[in-house]
Amino acid sequence: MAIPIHLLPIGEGRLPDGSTAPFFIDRRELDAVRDNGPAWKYDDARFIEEAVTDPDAIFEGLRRPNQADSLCYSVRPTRDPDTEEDPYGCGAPPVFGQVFLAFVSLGQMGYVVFDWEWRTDSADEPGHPENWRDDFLRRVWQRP
Amino acid sequence: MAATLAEYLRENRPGGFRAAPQYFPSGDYLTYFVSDERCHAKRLDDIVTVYLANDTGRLVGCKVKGVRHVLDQAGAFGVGVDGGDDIRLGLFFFAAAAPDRADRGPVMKWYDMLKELADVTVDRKQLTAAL
Repeated sequence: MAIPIHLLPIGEGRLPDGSTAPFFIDRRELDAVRDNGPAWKYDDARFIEEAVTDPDAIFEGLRRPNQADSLCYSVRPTRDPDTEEDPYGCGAPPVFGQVFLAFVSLGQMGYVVFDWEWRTDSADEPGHPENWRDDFLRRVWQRP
Repeated sequence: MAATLAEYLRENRPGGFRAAPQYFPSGDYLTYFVSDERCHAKRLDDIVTVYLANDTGRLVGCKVKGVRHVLDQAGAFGVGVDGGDDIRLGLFFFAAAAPDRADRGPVMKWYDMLKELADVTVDRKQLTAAL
């Protein structure tokens, strides 16, 4: 099946059952962040791939309208894709004490990342955002 | 044209900053940043998340989730979204802040600070997919 032109492949992301599936991001929405900022958010989209392929934890149920089945991938990034080639100097390392979250919904073509952000890392469960027990319905996977 | 996210990011540099609400249909949410300084997110409730500057902790933006749901409910109860005017962020903050739940104590200060952003309007054309 042809991939709609507005979907940009990210890679094979991990699913809660251990299998993998194609993950995408909406090119039009990425264009909007690129054009309007904030620049850090656009630049930090480089961490999405690690978040969905090698997360520390996956949560289900975003506790918001119409997102009961959506997923949240949480990771403390271990590598910066821009470190080795960063001609524009935007490759600031991840902030200590924070985790990177990628929010994912299931679309017709596969899994679509529709948002990403940083949150404070949990003090007792590294790689998880603080308050994850309240913010999400359940944890469906965590790094062994 | 880039074939993957990684290629796209290599080929496209950030274009600037515009302090205006942006609606993202794929996740049915909007964001509003008053500055482009680095920040982290703090979820207040199922409607509102605030963005706090990493260096100072001050409020630098917000995210409104479930935009379509809030507008549907507002329309159903006749709370002024049927006209041609743009929509104030205050409508969404009201929907989030109105319930008086005891467990909200520590985060109530953020609802107070959101009043500063309540008069910011969202272009109705941006919300076409949600209305």
